[in-house]
Amino acid sequence: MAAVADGTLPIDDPTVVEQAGYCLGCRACEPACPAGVPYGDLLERWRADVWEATGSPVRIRLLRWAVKRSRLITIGGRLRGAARRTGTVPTGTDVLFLGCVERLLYPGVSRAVTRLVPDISVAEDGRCCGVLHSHNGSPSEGRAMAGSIPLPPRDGVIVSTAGGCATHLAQVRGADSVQELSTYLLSRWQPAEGAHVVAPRNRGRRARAGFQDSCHASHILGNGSAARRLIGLVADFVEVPDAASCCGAAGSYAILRPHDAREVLAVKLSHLSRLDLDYLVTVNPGCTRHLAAELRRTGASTRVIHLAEFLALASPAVPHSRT
Amino acid sequence: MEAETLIDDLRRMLPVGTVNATPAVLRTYARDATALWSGRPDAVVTPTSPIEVESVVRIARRHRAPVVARGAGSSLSAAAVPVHGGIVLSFTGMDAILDIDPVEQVAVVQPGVTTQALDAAAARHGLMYPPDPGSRHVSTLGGNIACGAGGLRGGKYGTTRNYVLGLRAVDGTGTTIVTGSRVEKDVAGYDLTRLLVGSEGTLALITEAVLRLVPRPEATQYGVASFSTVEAAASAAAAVRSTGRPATLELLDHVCVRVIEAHTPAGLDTEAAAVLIFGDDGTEAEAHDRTQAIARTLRSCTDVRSVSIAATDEQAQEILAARRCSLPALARLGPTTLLEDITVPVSRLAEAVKAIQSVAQTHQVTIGVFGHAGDGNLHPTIVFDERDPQQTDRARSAMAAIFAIPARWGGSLTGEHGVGAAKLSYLRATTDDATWALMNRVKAAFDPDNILNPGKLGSA
Repeated sequence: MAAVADGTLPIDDPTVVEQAGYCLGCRACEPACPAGVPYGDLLERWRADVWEATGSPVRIRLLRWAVKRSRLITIGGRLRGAARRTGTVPTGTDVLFLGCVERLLYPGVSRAVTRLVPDISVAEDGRCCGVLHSHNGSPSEGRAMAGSIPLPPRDGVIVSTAGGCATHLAQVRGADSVQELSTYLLSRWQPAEGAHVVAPRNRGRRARAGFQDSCHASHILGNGSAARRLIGLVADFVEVPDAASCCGAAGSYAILRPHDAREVLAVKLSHLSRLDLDYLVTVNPGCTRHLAAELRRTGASTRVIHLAEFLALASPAVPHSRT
Repeated sequence: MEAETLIDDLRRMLPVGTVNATPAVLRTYARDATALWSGRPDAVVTPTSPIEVESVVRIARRHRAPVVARGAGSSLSAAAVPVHGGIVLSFTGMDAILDIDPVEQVAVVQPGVTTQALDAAAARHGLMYPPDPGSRHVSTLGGNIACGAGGLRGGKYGTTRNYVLGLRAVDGTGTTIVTGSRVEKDVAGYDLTRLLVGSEGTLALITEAVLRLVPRPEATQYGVASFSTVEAAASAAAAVRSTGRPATLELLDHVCVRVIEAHTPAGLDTEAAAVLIFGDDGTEAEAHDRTQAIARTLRSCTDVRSVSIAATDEQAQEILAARRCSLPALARLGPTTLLEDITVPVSRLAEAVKAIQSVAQTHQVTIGVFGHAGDGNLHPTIVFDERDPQQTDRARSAMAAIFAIPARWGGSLTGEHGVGAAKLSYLRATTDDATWALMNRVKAAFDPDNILNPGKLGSA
């Protein structure tokens, strides 16, 4: 970066281009850096400059285009059965923000949230928070998109079930207005007396569940303990070695660089195979997708599940079934 | 072009992937952790065996090309900067711990093993590798040996030179030499091992080292004392030293304390002019008694504000982490840091600190002072912005003034970071001609064509 800034290397130098794309952008370096280097911000701008000069990858251009089709996303979310405003009239002031990717791939997550917190309202509007733009060469557009998300009335907060979206929104809109689901639930939800998640393969036994941090939620928002405590309320919590290090999904990274993403995950997979978990809990759809796909490939029986759906399994009102 | 034939020759003789000459990589290897210094390497090689190291040196000699050894690149004296270009030889590909013998209490390592990795491996045998430089999680043992690294336990355990028993190294002709042995008592021949420790890659490239380990202490305790003047803290450190040699006795002035507390709050006294972090190890009882004894000594010192001992392990780790992050935390005050490394007799610490403060005033620069008070080794750190020429000039002149301080009392201008390129002219100014000429002859004996890290010790 410095070499590009001082003119020693051209912006289209092959190594510069490669490295701008190679970094996961997990931002684990930020909390570790006592000098306070804002690496995430530097990376976003660097990537934008490089891709402006060399052209963004086609997959990224498609992705950036797709997440801006807000009406299609709204309709798609309804068709997929993501949570809706209908049903009991929400009395609270907090609003569940339906991420564009999650409502299409994992509509059960938002439904689970409305079961856990019945008085939360749902923003069905298919606007994307802009995090994918920010990470992929359009940081100013990404900020503008986050800026256009309506804030809840009075002192309500936006609740996001995706660590990446929550962090991006919190950085643009202020940490007081946005909460990532795990910290939100910690103050708003408790399991019913005696409720727990049973192990799918051995009914009656409490499930063994691990947790994979969302990089940005853990490194930037400092979240992580909330999800672990929640899991521990309803299951036997097992700390996964290196849970706070990136799984390789890294937003769109696994789509753009599938080979590198798999390599990043390889170490984690070997830990996971030894732990023999019933569930691996996540708080970000990218992680869910990547981990589920790779665990399936290795034939592991561990089920990857979002925190909301996992906690909903423990609620006695909900029958034990796949959402 | 000369560089191209050099690269071609290297590629022909070394395995695929060992030689790299892409512009971005060359740029990365142009610097180490020292501000204001950079070079222009022609190639970066990452050999994986001593034989490949010999090949590199032989090829370089044919081309009269410099070879600059590099570990983690964490040098603070520009020792790893290729000031005359040539080949940067990175030892990161040679990072095997070859042997740890719990009976002999020695380890045999390749140069690219990190300091922390060796200590962790030693811990599994109930042993410890005492030198623990601030960068120990990245710094390599080859680099530690080349610069004679110290650390936070130096007051009690000494520095790297106390732990090197023997070396294998490749000299400037591409020939492997063997110094020392596996045993501690060994006076067979000149002590070439000691000569290579601190030689900064100018005499030979270390390819294997036999290191001494010590029994790992059962327990360590830490405490913190704060003072209303820096001189009082420095005098208190001298008072503690007059009663023994604690493992840890670290000084932090208020500039450091404030930036550290802003980053990793450890409950340090931000109102104090200076803080001493102290502690000792041994059996559970010894660590406790010794640390209590230091606390008693400190309580009786003048201008002391508070003295406390960490109640839990977590508290102790917080205190240590605070001390370890002092340099990076100082970087919050400005983008460039010039870190010095002077050593004075412990009895002169207070005067030295005072002299540094007056340098800061005269030259109008921000200087944070931290360091190993237990062995008189201070790291006055000038914080500035190298993009501003006036600030940079003031920083340079302040640095020169600081270098003049230790000579007043028979101290040294570098305690553990080495001379490198950064302090060479100051070393010349404080060394008599006969000794200087001898150093040059020693260099020529190891490296007749002056290809090993030229422009540094022995060839200026």
